[in-house]
Amino acid sequence: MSTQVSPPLPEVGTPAVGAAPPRRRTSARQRRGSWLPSIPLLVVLAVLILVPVGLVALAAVSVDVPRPGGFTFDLTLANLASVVSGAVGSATINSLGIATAATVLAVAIGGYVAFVTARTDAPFGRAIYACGLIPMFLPSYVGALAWAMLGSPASGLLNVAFRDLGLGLEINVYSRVGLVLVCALFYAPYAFLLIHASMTMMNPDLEDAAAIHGGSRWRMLRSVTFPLALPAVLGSALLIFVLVLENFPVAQVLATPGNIETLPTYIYRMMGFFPSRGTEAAALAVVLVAFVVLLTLAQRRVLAKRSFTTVTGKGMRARRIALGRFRWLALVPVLLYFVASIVLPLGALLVTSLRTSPFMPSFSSLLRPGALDGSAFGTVFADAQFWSSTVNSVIVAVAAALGGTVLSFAVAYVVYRTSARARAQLEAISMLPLAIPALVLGMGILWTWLLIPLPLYGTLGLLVVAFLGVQMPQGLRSVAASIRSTDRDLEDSAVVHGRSRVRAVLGITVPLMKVALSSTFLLLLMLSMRELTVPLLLYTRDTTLLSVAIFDRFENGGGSQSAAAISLVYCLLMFVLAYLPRRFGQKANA
Amino acid sequence: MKVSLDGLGLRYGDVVAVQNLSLTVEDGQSVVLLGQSGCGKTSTMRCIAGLEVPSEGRISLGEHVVYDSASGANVAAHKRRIGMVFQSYAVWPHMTVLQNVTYPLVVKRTRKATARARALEVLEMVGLAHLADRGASNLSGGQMQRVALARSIAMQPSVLLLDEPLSNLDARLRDDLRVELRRIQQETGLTSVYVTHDQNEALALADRIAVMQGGRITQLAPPAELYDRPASASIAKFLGVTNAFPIGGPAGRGSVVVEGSQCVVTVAEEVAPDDTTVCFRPEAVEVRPAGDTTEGPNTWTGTVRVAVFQGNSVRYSVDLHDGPVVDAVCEVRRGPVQPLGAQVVVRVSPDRVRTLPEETSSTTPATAPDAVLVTS
Amino acid sequence: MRRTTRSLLTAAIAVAVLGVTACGGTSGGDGPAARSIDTSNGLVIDGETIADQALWEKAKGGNVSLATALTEREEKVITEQFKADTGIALDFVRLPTPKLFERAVSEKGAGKLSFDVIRVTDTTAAEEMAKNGVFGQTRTPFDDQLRKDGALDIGGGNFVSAFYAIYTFAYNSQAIPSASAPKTWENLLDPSYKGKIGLVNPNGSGYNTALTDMLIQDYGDRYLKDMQALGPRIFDSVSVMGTALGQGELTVGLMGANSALSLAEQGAPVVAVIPPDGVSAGYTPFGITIKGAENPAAQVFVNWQMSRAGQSKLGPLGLAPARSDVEPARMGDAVLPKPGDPNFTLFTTADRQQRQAAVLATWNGIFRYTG
Repeated sequence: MSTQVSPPLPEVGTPAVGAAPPRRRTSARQRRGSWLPSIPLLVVLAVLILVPVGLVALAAVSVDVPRPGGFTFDLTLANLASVVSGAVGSATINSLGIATAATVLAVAIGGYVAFVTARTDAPFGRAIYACGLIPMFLPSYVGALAWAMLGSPASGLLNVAFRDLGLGLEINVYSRVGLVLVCALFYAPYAFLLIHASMTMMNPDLEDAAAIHGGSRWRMLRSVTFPLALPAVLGSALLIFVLVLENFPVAQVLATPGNIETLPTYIYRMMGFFPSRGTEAAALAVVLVAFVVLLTLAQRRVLAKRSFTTVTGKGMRARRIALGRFRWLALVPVLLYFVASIVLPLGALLVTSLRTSPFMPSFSSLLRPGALDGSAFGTVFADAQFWSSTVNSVIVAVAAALGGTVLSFAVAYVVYRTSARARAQLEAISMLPLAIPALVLGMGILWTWLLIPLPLYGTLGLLVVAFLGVQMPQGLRSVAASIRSTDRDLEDSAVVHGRSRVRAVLGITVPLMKVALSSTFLLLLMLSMRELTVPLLLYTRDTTLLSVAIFDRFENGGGSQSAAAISLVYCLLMFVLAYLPRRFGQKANA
Repeated sequence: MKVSLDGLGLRYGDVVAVQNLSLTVEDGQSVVLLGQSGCGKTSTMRCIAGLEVPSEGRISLGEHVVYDSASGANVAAHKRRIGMVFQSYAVWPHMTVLQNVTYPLVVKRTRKATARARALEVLEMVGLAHLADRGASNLSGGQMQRVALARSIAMQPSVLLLDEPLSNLDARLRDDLRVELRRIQQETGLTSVYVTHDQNEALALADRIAVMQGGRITQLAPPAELYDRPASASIAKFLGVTNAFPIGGPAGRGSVVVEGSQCVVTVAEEVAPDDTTVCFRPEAVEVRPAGDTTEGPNTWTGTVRVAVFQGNSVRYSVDLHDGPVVDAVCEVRRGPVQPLGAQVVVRVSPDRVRTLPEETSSTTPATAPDAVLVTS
Repeated sequence: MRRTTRSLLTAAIAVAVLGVTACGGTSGGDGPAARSIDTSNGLVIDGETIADQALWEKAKGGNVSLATALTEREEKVITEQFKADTGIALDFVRLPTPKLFERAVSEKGAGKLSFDVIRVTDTTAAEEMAKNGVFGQTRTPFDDQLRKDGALDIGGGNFVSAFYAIYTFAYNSQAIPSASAPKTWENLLDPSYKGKIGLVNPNGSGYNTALTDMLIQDYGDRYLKDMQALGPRIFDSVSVMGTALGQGELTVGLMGANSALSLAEQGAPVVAVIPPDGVSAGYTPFGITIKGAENPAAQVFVNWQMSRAGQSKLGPLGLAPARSDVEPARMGDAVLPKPGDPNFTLFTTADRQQRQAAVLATWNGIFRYTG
């Protein structure tokens, strides 16, 4: 065999090159720059997300609400002009102020609990972890209602208790402070989860290096540990800020009675006006969206950084700091948080559900015969509508979670594993709902499905479809993190060894992502069970969900006993749903 | 089975990963694609496997065309019957060792008993039969590497591709497995294509080495020839020829002067007009104590700046009195170890000295003449 | 005009301050004595023919879908009685008027109207729905009586007024002893109620628009400004305000007599006041939809609602019946003002057409509720 380097050939000389002009995107894996995988997903996402958003945007500049039958293209800028009014200004300031304060507080709470459980030798680590996490399963809306029962002026249970005890103390949750506290309590778990993850993944070598170079422990924490946790802190702060900013139910329960205007309640009220001011609501929504888009962009930058810094260590165990005699003291704030976020709200719901009269002058009045009984639970369980709404909630949540997991996986796969066209657009559309308040998106979804000639309106299917769209960002983010950390060689390897691509995905990639996919499913399940704002705009008598049933009972007044009873059952259901998959997941993994 | 690449090109957007690359690997032969990261060697391999679709060119396995940009033919990766060992091994952690190895056989609907027997046979060959029922996630790096290899061999592939198969292992294991890989390749007679950036690995594993730079093959040669006669200064430097000095100009017939110094280097071979660099391997340099004869060509005096004891050899950096710093690797048994600061005499035989162009003409992108390899 | 008439009569009218003790509710279910229901030839209740033989045969065992803006509790009492009287199934969806409007008009536009019968609390909303073709022709066997009582022609044949809501104010009897309780509208402006007074946004609520109009007509814009100076809490729904009043978060609230009654029945220390200077009253538009027009059971429901059987259910709830030939609204032992009474200030169609926009603009301006 002889070898030689041949004289050079001119590059264009080969027929292959001449025949096939270079295409724009050639980073292909299977199909280079193909539209094939993108188009079905683009269509699905367009219907789920783009059309509703488009209708809202159209409404913002239309004379009439784009409802079927009244669909015109009479455009106007008057709606946008009306946004620039004094009341909107104060609503904006309130919203931003409340969101800022609640974010700071939530991150402080979540960060503290995360630090104590992840990085110190404080006792009961698992219990502290639970304290940090469990409030997540209590819908913030129910939490707000419970806190309204606790801290409404004059009649709140805490105020009654203060009065009974002769303390000259009165709290009022229908205030900015109250809103901030309640939002912080129920959004702190988001900060907790993110910060906890980053603190446990932290490479102890980095801290050791700081210690060796002569830093005191506090110095080490300040100069190494906290800066390393910073991406998680910022990421969770932005996430919480956005969530609080667009949160409608808590504001409706706490801000409205206190005459505190916020952007979401303002929009909701506009939509509740007659004659309809839906177009102005849409215009205002555009303002809210603008804020949230800006923040989301910032958040994505920070979170993108996060994934580079913390998900490096595998199997690293962060070292724990010995607190010495402060070990037990460190638990006090955690305990306080647990009491404020779980014990008091659930207690308030329990008392309210048991007392026969909604009006209670003092706690001693509860001792009167007949003042307390469990009849509300009997009423609730005997109520056919309770059962139908429970069944509806579970069906919708399971279907939306399953569909959402599959859809998120499909989008994540196409975006991160192929070179299909329009990948960036797919991702952008998927993340869009994050920037759009549920209230606004719900409005768009309602209009969309009244316009689309499919018999979905008035069925549970509509709610499933709505949830798919609304929860797409959470689903995608959850799957994407995992698909990016799953070595793609594992799947390629199966293809090389003779499996078709589809079967390799199903046989290798999906099983490898089992844990991530099941936690995505769980996340979407929880979100669907909790969602109130969107179904509030879409439900019909036959498709009432548990969350809506509770809202309805409270809004109808007087029904607080049964509403509290349903809320308790609802919370119980949430805990069970959160717990069961873990249980089974552990068994399956063992 | 013979592998032929013909005019292969691969582009990612505006980035050219592989450019007009042609290469033939004869049946049963082992070719190593050697180059720095980003040179296109892995991309080339993934094109052969079908994991990347080339922008242009043709790929044949045996007589069978699996990709041809002109005709649009493109056989899917899973139908090419190619074994591949990934850099990350890609051993499926949720399966046992045996399940991993039988996987390609199960895919081909081989009878269960046959598949099992075949897998155990291959595991025996790689020395892992005793771990057949172990979960794959509990293996060490070296074991995973063997599982990945066994899995690919078990499918009786037409070609075996190995992407940096040893790079994630520690040095000792790497040495052992290198030998073993070569043994298995020769035993099974599999046509193999390796990708590596490690010249020792390439020298050990290859029948022929294709040096890749900037998406092209710039030299293709058997290991001994490549070692002895790199085609360009950049290849030489990549292959560990640390003594490479720019030529200042001719210094009479058969010798050149090192740029910026008085140092004259005598060369046994003809100096070509476009040769820009004079070089010689550190192993070709002799280091003698001061006072040794300074007669003869390429004999210089200098001061030892660094001396590193490496067991059976010593590595020196010697600062020549009227020239550059020269690296030398000397066997210990050939003379006493020179201490730091010692005055020494340095000598290189003219027939170990090469003068080389900076690049092979084919690596200059603007004019783009390609190194196309013809084998017979 | 109205003002003078009223002042003449002021002396004659007893100040009815009514507390309904927490005796536990029969949920307003005390109807008249047992009904006589005869279905041998159509549906005849207490001698009044509600459905003739032909309609009744088609309607029997049917199903009605009602959309209502009335509070759940009251709608339940009414519809339960209907179901008991007729054996016809009925489901209702409760939505505030604006949402109900949006839903109905959107569904109509998409050809997917899901309601047979609609009951809202705002006449303008009903009119707009009628313009959008939501309603069919709402006719009952009692049209003559209704025309005589002024409840028939408000909706141009598309809807009628099912009853009138009587709007007044109520106070928390634990926070205010009855001796110092407010008795007139002017009393409400007492500085001691600062921050403790509640009212409901009239936008989209005909009842509250009627009340606002009465206050402006009788006392001028000044009244609203003085009230704004007290820093009132403004609610979107009377139910939520009622709970706040019952719990003592508020001491007084502007609300319907029916709501106060309902609260008292649930044990809340809430007492409604019927001030001598008048209460406001608003129509309750009620009509059959184009979908319901195809549903005989829906027609039976509409007939029943406007029959003596249906109307007599309203008085005990504190709602003024549309028909003058049934017992008027009551609160405990006291009879509430009824249509035609001088202190029954009805927000008529003419009032609405002339003043509604101005009333709402005034209110929105003074309370700066929205931009």
